[in-house]
Amino acid sequence: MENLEQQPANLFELQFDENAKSSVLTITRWAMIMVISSILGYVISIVKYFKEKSKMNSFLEGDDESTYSNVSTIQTTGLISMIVSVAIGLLITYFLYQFASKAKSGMETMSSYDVNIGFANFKNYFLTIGILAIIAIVFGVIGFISMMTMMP
Amino acid sequence: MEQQNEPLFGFPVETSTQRSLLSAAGWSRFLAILGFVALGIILIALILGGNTMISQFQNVLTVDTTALAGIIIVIVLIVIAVIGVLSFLLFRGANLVKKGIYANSQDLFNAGLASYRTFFLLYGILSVFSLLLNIYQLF
Repeated sequence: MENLEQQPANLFELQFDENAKSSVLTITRWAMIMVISSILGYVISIVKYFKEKSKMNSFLEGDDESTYSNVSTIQTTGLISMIVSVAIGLLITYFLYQFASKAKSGMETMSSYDVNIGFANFKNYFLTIGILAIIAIVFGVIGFISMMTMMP
Repeated sequence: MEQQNEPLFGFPVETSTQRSLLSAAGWSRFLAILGFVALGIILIALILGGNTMISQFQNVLTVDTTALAGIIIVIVLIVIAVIGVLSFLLFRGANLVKKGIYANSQDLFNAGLASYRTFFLLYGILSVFSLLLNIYQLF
């Protein structure tokens, strides 16, 4: 009798049924594609940076010291901003990778532990992007206000 | 008699997974709303400054105004459609997953995950497309 009373709770409990599992597996497949294309994208942007740097350096050969130092400052700023954006991108990509790999293995082996870790990273992925969006908005608003105050 | 704890068709969504999904739904809803706001800003900018933008482009590129306007409108419409669809899918997925968890409804939960699936599919295609564009620009 006690077992019978417990059964409905088990039957109507929220589950990863066949439909949910299929959706999660498709999500993880595309998330993995996004991870690979993001990493390749970062590699390409690094290659692009050094390619353009060497092009610029060869173009400036023979120019005076002050022009060369100005360009060097711009290049250093560019390098720092590239490193920061790649680092942030890699962090987001790491969460996506963890989600994709853990949720996939969790769905395939029906391991609640892996699924838990996978979805914790799914949350971290959106949380990081959300926080970055808030920071970007704050900087955008500050920039807009300072631009408006500088206008005559 | 041994008590049967195994579910019939799958495995249960544990409380910690539900918490993660609820938090993810909250943040993705926020991002979707940002997407809608961006969409509104693009539309307002297009309505208010569309003509100025086209004339400025024309000064730089010296192309026929009608053709240029057509190209810009097509590009902007594609951008609007992509942002709109992605935001809608994210918003729908977040809402349905949240409702599904609170109401303990398998159908709503599955519909939410299906929305997230379409979102990731579209986003994945876009990321591959942008990677190809990056590779093309490299050479």
